[in-house]
Amino acid sequence: MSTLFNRRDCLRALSAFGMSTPLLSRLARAENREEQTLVFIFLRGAMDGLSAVAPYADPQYQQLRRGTRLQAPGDSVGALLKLDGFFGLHPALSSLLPFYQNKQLAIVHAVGQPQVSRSHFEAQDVLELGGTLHGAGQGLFAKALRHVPTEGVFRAVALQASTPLSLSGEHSALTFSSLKNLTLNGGHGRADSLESLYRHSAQDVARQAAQSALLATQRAAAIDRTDSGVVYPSSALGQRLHDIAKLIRSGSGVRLAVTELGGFDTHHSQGSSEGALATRFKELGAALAAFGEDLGSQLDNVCVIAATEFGRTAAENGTNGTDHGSASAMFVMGAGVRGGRVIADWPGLAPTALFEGRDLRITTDIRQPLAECVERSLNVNPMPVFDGFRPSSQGTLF
Amino acid sequence: LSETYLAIFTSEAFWGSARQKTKTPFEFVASALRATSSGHPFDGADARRLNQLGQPLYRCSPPTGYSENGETWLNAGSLVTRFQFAQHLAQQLSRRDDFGQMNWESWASKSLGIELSQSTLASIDQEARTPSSAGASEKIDNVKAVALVLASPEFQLQ
Repeated sequence: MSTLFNRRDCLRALSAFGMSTPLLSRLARAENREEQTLVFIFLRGAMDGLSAVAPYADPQYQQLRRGTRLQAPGDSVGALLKLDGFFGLHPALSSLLPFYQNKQLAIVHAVGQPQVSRSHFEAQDVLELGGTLHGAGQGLFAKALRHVPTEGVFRAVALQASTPLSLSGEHSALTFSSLKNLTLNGGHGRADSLESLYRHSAQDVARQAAQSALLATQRAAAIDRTDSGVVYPSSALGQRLHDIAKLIRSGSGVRLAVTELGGFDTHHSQGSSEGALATRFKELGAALAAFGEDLGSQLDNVCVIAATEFGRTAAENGTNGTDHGSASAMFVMGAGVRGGRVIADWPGLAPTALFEGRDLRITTDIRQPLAECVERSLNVNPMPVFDGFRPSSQGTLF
Repeated sequence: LSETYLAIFTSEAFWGSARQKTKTPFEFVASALRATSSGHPFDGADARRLNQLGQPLYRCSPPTGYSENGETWLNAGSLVTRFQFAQHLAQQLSRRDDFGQMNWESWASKSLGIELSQSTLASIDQEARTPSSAGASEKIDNVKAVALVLASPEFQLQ
């Protein structure tokens, strides 16, 4: 939004002239969009979508999966949780079920990046760059943020150890491991030392960076002290989502928050209702549920995506695990998503239906739901963000 | 070629642009380690620091290579990380026996090979003086001074 045309002023002016109804409400809705936040959780390592949201009613599922198989919904311990009569939610994700039932959580299945290799590095890079390895190495969120008018030190944050590729090229993004660690004084000395050090710097960029750094650290301390009382799991993801919720609830102006959860590369000893993968799901589910509870009605203004780079083989391997595959599942929560649905053009698991005879086939290009979320919550045209990919005008999520 | 080189090396623009360019994270980390002559080999923690500063080793994604533009490398987030790294190195340096007797100004001029501006010197001097309680002589906090030297605007330039 240019400074010449400010929506707030415009609204005020229009209402002063007694103007109302459709135009005004459209503008009001657009204004509301400037307070929306996109939260992206990258599930790194290729999550087994066939376990997260298992197609227990697909006749092939029982044959392909033995050691990792999950029981159809029912009374037995460790059974899947009923979603829609075909798919069941992994029992370790049970804390997400209330959000699904409240229609605040949607699942997209058989989703993935067509024509991308089964290499983690390449697939993660392509996803984070918006569907291309070519171009100027601009992250997909960096490209989107170029069109986001919100300013402020917290407009784009990455709660993780290093700046993700999805934000590369975005100079305003702040990367930090926790609000608590976003500090300049390290327990001794004054926090504004750095600012006074740069006050006379000849470089405008450096001077402004120091001012923003001081502002960010001062505000981080204040924001960190706000607490809603909702108990988060002590896991890394739990703590990061807690910080993101604090940023949102305190009105910091955060429009984009990126974080990650690893450990999905389950080549061996994957487990079924319990085990290595179940532990990951529990971490994801508990953290997301606390986040949703914490935000309450504010979740309508926050779009949370949890997605992975690719899925895993339909069949198990010889070490009770699964190998690199194609399609997987993704979660979208909040932001008025039409939830309570597993959105899938299900390709089936029959041998002829599998991609290259081994993987769940991709029937939904992951750029479609991602583009819808970017457009919805950042109010940005997704085409340039996803390297010219033209999302279907018939949205699937909202 | 020799004529081209001659033209470059004798041009005012060439010499006028000396010490104007922002260090990349790699250059910053390497020069800071060298300035504090920590002697320890580049390790995993340093590599993570580079990741955090946005320049993961051998993982440059664009085929055009890492940016040569200062704006890419100097922003609020990276400045906080650079300052935290500077504090970490200053703490390490302080384990040396002679650290207490050290004069940070002469350390800076000896080990950095750059000149700090008057305003930077004055600013560090002021920040590093621990407020003296009544009657006690003023003490200089060398840890803080070293950290601020490494975080100074001058040290961020090549």
